[in-house]
Amino acid sequence: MAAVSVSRSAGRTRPTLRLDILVLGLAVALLAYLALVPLGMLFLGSVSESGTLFEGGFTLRHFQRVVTDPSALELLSASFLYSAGAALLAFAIGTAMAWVVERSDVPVRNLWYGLALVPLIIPGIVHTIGWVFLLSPEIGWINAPLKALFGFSLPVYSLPGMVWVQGLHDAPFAFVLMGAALRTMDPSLEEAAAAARANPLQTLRRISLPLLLPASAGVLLILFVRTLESFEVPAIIGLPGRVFVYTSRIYLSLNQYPPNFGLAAAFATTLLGISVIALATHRRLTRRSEAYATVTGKAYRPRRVELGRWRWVAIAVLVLYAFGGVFLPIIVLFYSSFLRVYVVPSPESLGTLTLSNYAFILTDDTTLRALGNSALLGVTTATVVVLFTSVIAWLTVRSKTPGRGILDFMAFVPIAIPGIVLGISLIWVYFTVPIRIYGTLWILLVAYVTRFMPYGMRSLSAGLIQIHRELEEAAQAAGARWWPTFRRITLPLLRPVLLATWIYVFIISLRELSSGILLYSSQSVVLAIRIFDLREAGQYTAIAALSMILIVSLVLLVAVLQRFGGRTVRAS
Amino acid sequence: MRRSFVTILAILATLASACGGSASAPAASAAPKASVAASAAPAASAAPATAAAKETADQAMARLYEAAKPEGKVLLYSSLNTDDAKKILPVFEAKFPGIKVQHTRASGEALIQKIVTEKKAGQDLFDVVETNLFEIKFIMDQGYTQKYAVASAGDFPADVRSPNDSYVAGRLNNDLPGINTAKLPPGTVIKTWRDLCDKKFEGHLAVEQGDVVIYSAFKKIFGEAEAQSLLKCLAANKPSLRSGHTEMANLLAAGEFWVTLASNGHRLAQLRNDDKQPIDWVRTDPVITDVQGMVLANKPKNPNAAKLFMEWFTSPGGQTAIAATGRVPASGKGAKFPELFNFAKAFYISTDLAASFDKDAEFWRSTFGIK
Amino acid sequence: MTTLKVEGLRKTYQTGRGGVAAVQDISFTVEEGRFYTLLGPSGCGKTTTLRCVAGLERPEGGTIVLGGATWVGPGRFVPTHDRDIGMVFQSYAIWPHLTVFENVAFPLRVARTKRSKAEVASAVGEALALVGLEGLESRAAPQLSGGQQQRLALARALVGRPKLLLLDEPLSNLDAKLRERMRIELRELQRRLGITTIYVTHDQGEALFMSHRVAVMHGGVIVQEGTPKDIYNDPATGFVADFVGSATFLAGPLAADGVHALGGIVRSRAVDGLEVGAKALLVLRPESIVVRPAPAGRTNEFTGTLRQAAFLGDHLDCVIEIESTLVRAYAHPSTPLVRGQTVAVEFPEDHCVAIADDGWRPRALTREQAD
Repeated sequence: MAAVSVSRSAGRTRPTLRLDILVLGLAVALLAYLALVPLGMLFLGSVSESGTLFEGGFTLRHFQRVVTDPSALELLSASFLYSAGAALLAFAIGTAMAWVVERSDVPVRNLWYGLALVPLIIPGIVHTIGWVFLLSPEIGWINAPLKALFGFSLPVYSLPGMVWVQGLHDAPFAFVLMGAALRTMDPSLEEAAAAARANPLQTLRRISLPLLLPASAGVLLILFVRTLESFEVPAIIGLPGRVFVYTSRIYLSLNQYPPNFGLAAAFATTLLGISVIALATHRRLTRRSEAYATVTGKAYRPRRVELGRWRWVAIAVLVLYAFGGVFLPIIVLFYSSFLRVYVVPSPESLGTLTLSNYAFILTDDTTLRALGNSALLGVTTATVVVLFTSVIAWLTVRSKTPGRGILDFMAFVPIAIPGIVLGISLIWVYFTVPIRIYGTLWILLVAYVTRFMPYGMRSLSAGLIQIHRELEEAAQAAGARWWPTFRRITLPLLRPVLLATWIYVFIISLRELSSGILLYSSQSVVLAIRIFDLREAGQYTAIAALSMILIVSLVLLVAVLQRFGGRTVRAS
Repeated sequence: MRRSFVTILAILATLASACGGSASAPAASAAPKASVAASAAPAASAAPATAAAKETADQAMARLYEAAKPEGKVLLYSSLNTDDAKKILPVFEAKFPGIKVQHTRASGEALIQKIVTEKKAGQDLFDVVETNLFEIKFIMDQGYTQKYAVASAGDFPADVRSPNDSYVAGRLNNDLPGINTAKLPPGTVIKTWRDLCDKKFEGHLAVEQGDVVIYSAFKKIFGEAEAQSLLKCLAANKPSLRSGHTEMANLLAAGEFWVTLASNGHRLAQLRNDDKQPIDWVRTDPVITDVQGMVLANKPKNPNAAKLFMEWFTSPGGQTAIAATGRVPASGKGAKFPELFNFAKAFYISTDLAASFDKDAEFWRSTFGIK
Repeated sequence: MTTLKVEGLRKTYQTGRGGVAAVQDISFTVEEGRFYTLLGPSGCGKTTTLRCVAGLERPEGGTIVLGGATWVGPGRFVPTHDRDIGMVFQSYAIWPHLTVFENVAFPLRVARTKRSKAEVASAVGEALALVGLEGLESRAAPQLSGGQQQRLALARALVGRPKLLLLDEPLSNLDAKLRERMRIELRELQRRLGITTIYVTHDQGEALFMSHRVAVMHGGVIVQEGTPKDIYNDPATGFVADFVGSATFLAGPLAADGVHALGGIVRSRAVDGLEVGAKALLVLRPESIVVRPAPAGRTNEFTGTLRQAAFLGDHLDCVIEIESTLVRAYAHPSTPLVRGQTVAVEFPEDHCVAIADDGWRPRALTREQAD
């Protein structure tokens, strides 16, 4: 950064003003406000006596209730069972798919990469509602015939039901992560095992699985944390089934009256603690697996098992997941969107098909406002995140400014904060700080930017690291100062990453529900929240219509953006 | 790079203007509104004094309409469900062109949560609240409302309005147990709530999980001991706990369960008569009738439009619009489905039932296992 | 009997644009106990051939037989783990989660006939001693240096006393000095153990140094096969002559006693089957050419200008221009040569061989020559 510092002449004792330190200081302050202040407020809120901070002294009774309430143990065990169960299910499905696609010669590979990303675009709430339609105990598409033919039905409003729906939802995510792990595993390690006289089963048991263990543990942990933080399934499936986990409990504490903000904060703090421990463990594990990966460091030609006859089994597995996990919920939503009143499909119901739901959606003020808000919020969030994190990433990766380690750490703090915890934290912040943005789009912007910053950071840091320092140094050696170098060398090289990051943040902000669910008002309602609202109002068929519109728009949007962006959007 | 700079500026500018336009403007633009409210308040308080001598509803509405035109909208928080709102609110908008109703729909509990959180965060985002009486009482006790006497108050029976004009009811909910006649075993007769304790309903009963008011009503009707035993035996049938009466009624019609403990009568009637679903209800004695109260916010953003709406809702025109949806207008005139309540006396929910709410809620939750 | 016979091997890779024939109809035999090298530039098919022998690739056609056992034949394919081989990979493929001991013990542990712990320990100890890694048994494999990992891979390949040893460019990741040392060790080890070995490399120095026989491959076929001496002294084509060692090539029609080139006749012998008048390519090895400051009256002596004389320690690398042809020669380091001087260049007749000109031309030495 020598080009930008104001050098002092010999003899002067005035301290130098360095622009980079100033920027860093500002960035740290902003990050502290975004990431640390809410956590501080959350903690203070959890020990506050009255519903406002600084009034009425402090108390531990909220924590007491969290810990000693007779249902506390049940809450803890339900949360763990739900998270572990869904993580394992998603891992099993995702790994099986990843293995089939990466390590065998199944013919539909390229198609599969595209297909596997579709469920990642669909908002969790849409997916969950689709499954509720399918598995409603008496009238679900799957349960109604089961009941009629065999006399039993699959209980969706239960812990197994929650595990099933969430596991299915996260399976594509596991697929992407495990696919990456399989790809970075040197196939010659398995070939060496074969050359050392080990049959395929022995190779799998002694070489492949142990080598995948650190990566697998890492992926399992990530899935665990994701499920722990999830809100859609616990709210829509857990609550009616009276299975409570931390996220739904936070929501409930506020939805009783009088709303118990302190209790909500106490639950949120507990959840945060668990999440932090899990993520810290994950960090340690991934460091070890990186040690395995650096032993061999080249690009690998993939080694594919020839399936022969088993090819059809593999294809069947993939098709089964595609149909059952992805298309079935969409199909049921599609059909239901044309019903006036929700009923089990039957020849009679075919006669009642109508477009009234779509008419409702397209003329409903609140829904249209939600559409507009979502678009605006998405664009703004993506832009702010990309701008902000590019500055921070540049400071942490490229510059030698002192204190950039702190900046890096703080930019990643929000990743440990579950969405709904962030929501309740922000409530506490804006109870105290006299900036009146609660209930407006601004507070949602704050929430979203805070939440998605780590993703931007990760993407942009990786992108910057890949641009060798030497490329910029060559420009400097040719006489260019900082700004022209940045503009002519770094920025053009970084553009694909910037674009891909922007697209990614835009998409995930369209899907976001849990951080906004406690912060919105009718002015600032967004799409996912609107769907949630409509469900509370019992408007199932309208939800189906809105979901269809949402799915189609998102898929089209991603397809178009990918075309322009020229890069695959991968879930990080 | 310059171009992207301009784009960013454009986005920020759009954002700023969007926020300036919405009701959530930062402090600076709140000032002019505050002064409008301040100047409106003396006018409003002056008006009843001079027009105390029986200003008719029409006169009040005409006056308020003129004053409401610059406001342009009324922010309504109501648990009125969307379908019915879509039939009622446009009648208002047609009668008073230029005044739009922005309806935020949530169940009573959710509405309270919203209001409390918004108020604590220093925001005033609603003009009128219309929901169950218990919830109304709660926000009244918090000081989030102000008194307002509608001109048509005299048309309403005493049971449905407060003596000191702190609230007025526009509509009533008959809370009747709903039945899916197609699912019910033939020959089953249900006369009263106790009959739902029959073991044949185990697993086929649904209860709205926030319906504490039903228990409070039971206590008044049967006495505490009987009410508690009734609740316990209902809980023994492992009811499905639902959130939202409309959802519950829709699912009842779809066959998800056989009976519900308490559904909104008009919805049952709509499903039976308009949608031709296999629905019926238990003719209980008495008919638990929940009063849906309406109150004015203490700091409404659109005070004149708010009052205009309240006046209209309680006027004969508004009551007719309500009745047309099948709901029961509080004035008692013109109900579309009199068979919802013409078989027994009405038991009106009143605010003094709310006095023991905490205890009742505790008992309700623990009996049904709601944590 | 550990003679390997490969006949008619064919392997095609399917890419997006159709098939790439990596190996086209290759046949060779490796006698028992011999060190056989597949030598060629990248993409010539040598690694593919080795992987076919290992069973890691499935060829489209051909047979592979070791001793009496057919590994690949019509309708028959023995998988890798059933072939009695040991293999060293280019990346060593050391298993990072196992210790040195575990890595070496692996083939014994997965073998069909189980061995006792003592047997395993002793076999591992022997193998480690063979490669000079004694004492490192409990070290975690990733902690070894590059050279040590390579030895570890070798020990692992040999511990099971396989009939066939396969090595895929094992030295290419080592630095120059280490590579030289390992070359010597490998050769010595193979001679001592007498194990039939196939070695793949692109480094002709390694090939010449270690092998009993060398097969030069290019474009998926074996271009020439023979002892190192044969290949070097009697190259079959210009490509082979250029790939194994370096040479200057003079093209011209064959005369009775030499080749028409450099404005005259360069006396040389011709390979069998080459007729007078046919297009011939004269191969001149730089170390055979003698450079003198002044003519010495020998046959095949030409005069030219010294374009370059670079000092390389053990020789001077010279480029002389004779009749606008650039000739490369090595001179003794003490020869007094200065750039630009006129020198006499002698091509000793018995070191000159003329081969058939198949149109192949070497890449230009300098830009001038290319023009």
